[in-house]
Amino acid sequence: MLLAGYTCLDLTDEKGWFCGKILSDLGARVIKIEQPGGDRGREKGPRWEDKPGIQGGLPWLSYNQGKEGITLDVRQPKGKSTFQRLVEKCDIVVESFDPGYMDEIGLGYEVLSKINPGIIMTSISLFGQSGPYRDYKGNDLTMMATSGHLFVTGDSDRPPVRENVEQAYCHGAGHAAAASLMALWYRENTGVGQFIDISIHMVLARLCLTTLIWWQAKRKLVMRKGNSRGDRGGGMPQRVTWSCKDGQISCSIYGGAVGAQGNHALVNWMQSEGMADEYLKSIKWENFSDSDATEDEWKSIYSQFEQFFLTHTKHELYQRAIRDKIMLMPVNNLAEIYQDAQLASRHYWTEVEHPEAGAKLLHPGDYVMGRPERVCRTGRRAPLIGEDNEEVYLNFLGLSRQEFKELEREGIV
Amino acid sequence: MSALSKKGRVSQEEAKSPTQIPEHVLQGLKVLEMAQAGVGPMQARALAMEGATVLRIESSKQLDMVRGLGPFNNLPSGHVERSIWYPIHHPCKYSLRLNLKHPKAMAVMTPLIKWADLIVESFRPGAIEGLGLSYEEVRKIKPDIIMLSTSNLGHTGVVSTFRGTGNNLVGMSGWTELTGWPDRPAVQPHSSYTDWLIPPLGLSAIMAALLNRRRTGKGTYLDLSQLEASLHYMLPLLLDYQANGRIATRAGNRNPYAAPQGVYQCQGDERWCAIAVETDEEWRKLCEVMGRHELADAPEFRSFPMRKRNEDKLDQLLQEWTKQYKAEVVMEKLQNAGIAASVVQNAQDVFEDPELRSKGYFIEIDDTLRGRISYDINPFTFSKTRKKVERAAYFGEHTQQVCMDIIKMSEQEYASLQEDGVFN
Repeated sequence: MLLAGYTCLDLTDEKGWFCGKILSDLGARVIKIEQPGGDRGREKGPRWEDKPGIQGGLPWLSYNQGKEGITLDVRQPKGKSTFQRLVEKCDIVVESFDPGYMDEIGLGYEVLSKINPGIIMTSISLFGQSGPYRDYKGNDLTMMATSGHLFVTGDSDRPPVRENVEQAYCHGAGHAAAASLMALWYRENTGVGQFIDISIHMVLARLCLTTLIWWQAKRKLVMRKGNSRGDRGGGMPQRVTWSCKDGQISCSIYGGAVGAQGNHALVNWMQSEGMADEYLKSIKWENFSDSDATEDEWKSIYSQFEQFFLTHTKHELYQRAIRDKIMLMPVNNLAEIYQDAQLASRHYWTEVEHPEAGAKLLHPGDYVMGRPERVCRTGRRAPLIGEDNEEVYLNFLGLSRQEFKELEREGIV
Repeated sequence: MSALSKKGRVSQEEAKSPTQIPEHVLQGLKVLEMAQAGVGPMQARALAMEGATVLRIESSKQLDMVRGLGPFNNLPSGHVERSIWYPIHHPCKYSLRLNLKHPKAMAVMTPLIKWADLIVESFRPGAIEGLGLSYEEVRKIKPDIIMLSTSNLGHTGVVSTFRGTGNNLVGMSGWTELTGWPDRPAVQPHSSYTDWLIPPLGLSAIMAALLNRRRTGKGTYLDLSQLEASLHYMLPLLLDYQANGRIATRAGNRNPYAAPQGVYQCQGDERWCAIAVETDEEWRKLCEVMGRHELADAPEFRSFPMRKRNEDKLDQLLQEWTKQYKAEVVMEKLQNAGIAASVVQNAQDVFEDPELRSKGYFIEIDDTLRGRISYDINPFTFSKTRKKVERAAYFGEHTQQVCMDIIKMSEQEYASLQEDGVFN
């Protein structure tokens, strides 16, 4: 495993879970620390409905898989000292409490770096550890609103609209993982550890990069255009989403070398079914400039494509796209993703056993595939509350059984 | 350019002296970038802005598609540096002009592969193999090389040669279906949305592979399918289908955890505020802020299940209140009461965002050819190492210097290759 030998202490709530999961997927030992009795995040739904006894909702099960689980009350003096002993033996600490909380309870970077100068401490918060919005509240919707991404998504006659995916925290935690590993590489080169401040807001600001480009260059505000992209210049927003006979597809028309081959193939197909007019047939896509084409030209092109797509199914269109290299893909729902042939042929899905449920679920598998050796490991379900207490406290940390029992008795573990 | 020759891997001896500690987190890392469009270049960009030496290879026979994307600066139509989009993807990199299809290209590539720790490529699957630069070929030259290929659907499998962009992958990977209003067809999540999901995952894999090489001396090939990686952002929804047979779809601005939750119109044109109320306490405070104390204990709203049931009414109530104020005022009133609320920021708001500005997120650089450009830094702050921000190189700007400084060509060798057209 790529990160074999590295250990991460994971104190995060849902804002940071994905960070530890990425590190765990790549082979690090990730120890998820929960307060005794378990994290509140386990309660977050949706739940596995006919399995009420499972310790945790599906978000918990998703983003804590692969981790080991221990309980520890880091607010108690003895819990604190036990945590510090763990820090001595670890490489990365990742946390997502409110800014300043770790300092408040005496476990800030100043303290931890004295115990272990090489430690990487990564703090994930909504707006960073400093700055004017430091103490602001947020959830997925409001964070996506600050990012500038929400403003440009949706139909123009209704309010801006979100993707129905809780995702803002994944963006932040993903960058936390990448940055933590950069710092670890630096530490391996220099011996120097450091503190990393992740502001989810700052991470999300990248999502509207293309609209920022229009603003800084032309003081033009890109607006939401429903099924089209408004950030592509030229006479018309670039149409992307289309209705077809049995659902929707995604198709972009590019001129020049990028789109020429596929566009010619598509127009030939339309022509063979009598659905391309003289203008469409005459376009030399190699020389066609997206930005210079007029609105009338685009309207003519788009209306013919629109009519044509309605006469075919998603499957027919995608199969032809694969064969003829047309830039067209189906708009899949989540059930259709599970049926995708490409994912199946790459053995993407991983069966994860949930013994407590007496059932298995097909989880998304390795997020990156390696050669000559596999680089991810997946398949271990998220830990039960305190499941790995003995393994971590006795074997990894080296507490005596008596010390361990004492911590248990005092409610610290 | 002297920086190029100075940079090497930090040896143990150097590490011992604190005065010689590198100022950038990835200083000394050497990267070859043969990538186009978004996902590949963005990962190399993140490395370059942390101090890695990134050589970007591009051919005039196949210019990056982003060079043709507006907005454009004042340079004439057809000018290779005309796009303002392009430099934003490529700050801090060195630019090498090289025709990889030229029979003598390997005279340049072989020493560069020996020099590099990492290759990042994002051509259509099959293309890099066609150039004789597959991982298997490259590792013959440099056995411990790390190479990342990123593509829409991966480099193996039944449709691996599929030619696509993030634009359409957004549909394939489920995002489009989940975006919009339940009573209408799905809409496009803005931009090539999957492009923004992949870089942190790719970067994590790259760094893990580098750490692994340090420990084991072994290189790695990373086949990063953007479809496969993007699905990790929606794990709970995929498991919801597996566990409960539920197929998630679009739900406007609602989610199961909050009520009221929505985007509400405020004073002014296209000014909106997003608001989310999760707990009873937050609900009470909201009523206070709105001056509607009587609603706090109204039977139809006082518990979360009741608020969830009466969401349409709540939306109306909030809408009537918010439209009297500016979005910024609504946000401030609610945040002061401890309620999640945010202006739905447009590009100007983000560009002027006080939080981002306070952290130096945008750095302006004057560029004699392209004009002034604001570059955004990597969105993570290290306590001990600095960011690097330099303007994007011009096309082929460092070709000769790379050949001299890194490859150690003689002037005659360089001139001869140039004559042969290798650098076209």
